[in-house]
Amino acid sequence: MKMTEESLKTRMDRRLSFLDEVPSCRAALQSRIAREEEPAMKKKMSIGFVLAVTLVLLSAIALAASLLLSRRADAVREADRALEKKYGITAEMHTFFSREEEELEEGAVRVRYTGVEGMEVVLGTYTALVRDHRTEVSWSHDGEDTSHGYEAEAWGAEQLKQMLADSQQERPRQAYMDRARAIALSRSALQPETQAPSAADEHYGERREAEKTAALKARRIPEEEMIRTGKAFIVQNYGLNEEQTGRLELYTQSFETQRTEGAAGSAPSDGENTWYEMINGKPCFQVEYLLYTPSGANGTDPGEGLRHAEMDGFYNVFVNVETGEIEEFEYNSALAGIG
Amino acid sequence: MNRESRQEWLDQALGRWEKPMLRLCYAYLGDVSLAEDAVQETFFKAWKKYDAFRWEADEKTWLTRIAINTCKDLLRSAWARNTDRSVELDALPEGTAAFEEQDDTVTRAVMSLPPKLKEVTLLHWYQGLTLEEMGRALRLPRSTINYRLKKAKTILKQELEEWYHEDD
Repeated sequence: MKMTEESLKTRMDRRLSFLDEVPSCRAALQSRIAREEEPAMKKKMSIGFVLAVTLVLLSAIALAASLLLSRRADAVREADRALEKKYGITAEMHTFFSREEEELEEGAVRVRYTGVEGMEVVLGTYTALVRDHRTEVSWSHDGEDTSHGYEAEAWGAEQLKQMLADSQQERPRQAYMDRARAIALSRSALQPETQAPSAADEHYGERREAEKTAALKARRIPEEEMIRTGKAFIVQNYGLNEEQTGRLELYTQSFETQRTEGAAGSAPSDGENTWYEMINGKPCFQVEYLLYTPSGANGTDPGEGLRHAEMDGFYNVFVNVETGEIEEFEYNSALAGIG
Repeated sequence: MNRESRQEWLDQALGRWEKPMLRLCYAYLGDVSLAEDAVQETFFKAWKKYDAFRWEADEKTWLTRIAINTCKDLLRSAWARNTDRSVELDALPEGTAAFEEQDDTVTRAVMSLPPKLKEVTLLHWYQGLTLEEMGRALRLPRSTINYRLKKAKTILKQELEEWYHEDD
């Protein structure tokens, strides 16, 4: 007899059947719930109190709505939307760009999306200027002809859509990569000079480690709460449906839980600061979720027998460990290849 | 969610999951009173946090995660730390329903596992959670869960040598 789930379960259920005689906790639970609800009922008796509570709640909701995202993260969200509205650049296409933000004077934020290495010429740069919730977006190839697929010298949404499709069909990415490089050469693009590592870079590792530890030490919010915040943001911002939400798999490892556990089992391979970062000078906890679709019943791990479904990929949300604000977020459909 | 809907959900959830959760908590804690406390606490937490449930994959995984974390909290309490679990296991109640000797051996072997190994064993082979669901429930990477399952299986194999011997 092998230890199957069924036999172990059957045997344990039979052996533990004495627990069926244990009375239900229903009555005790109901009484506890009634006690929990009692203060709320009493509050209803005072109109003034109700008004005060309502005002506080409304302020809290308004605060949550306005402070949930840092100014920079909020600007990125606005920029993403503007980019899709004007140029048809969807979240899944962002995998072909690297993004950088810059905070300007008077609360404005500039967000730039530049084509990844080798594609910076054909894809160009989209620049979004976000100020007072108004966004102006432009493209370095504005006015150029983007028709005729990969034959065009400037690639916009049409080509990006084709690139996504090619990647999903597992056609060689090299085809459009080679074409992109050829176009870059023909346009005699000036490649940015490679910078020699500076003296400060030699200490990059140490500096980064110190930053991660500082971010961990600054934590005032439980990891579990930040994970919930991150997930709620991912679902809301990317409009994931119930089925997609159900498939989201948390990749971030919470050491907070493990710190209090016993000694058995495997020890964490990384330090407790693994998921902590300083983002724009703010201490953050990285909440990473994966959304993937196994191609077969046995395909369970990302990278093994996967097929791409809409919105599959890697989601990262950086939550400020002191304030709970979202400082940065990104989604990578991984169709351009990662790492 | 309004009060009535939440109450309706609680009634249904208790009917469906109270006994399975009690067995799970007992197998993890080895103490009937403690397991009863854990189950009540589990459903109370679930009732309080029901609005958050809409983000979760399914009810069983969600309740199991709350139950296991509640059990861990209880085990960390001062009272539990000072209690000899092996004594509790010796006093495993008999009950009125009949069971085979092997049922008793298997149950005791599982309950004797170290907490982390017991946890994965109960979730996977007893509760039937998939690795993905366990990952969500325990917030652990698949590799860690796999490692613990293998380790638990090795120990159980040694403990249940004759049981395995039949066709392994």
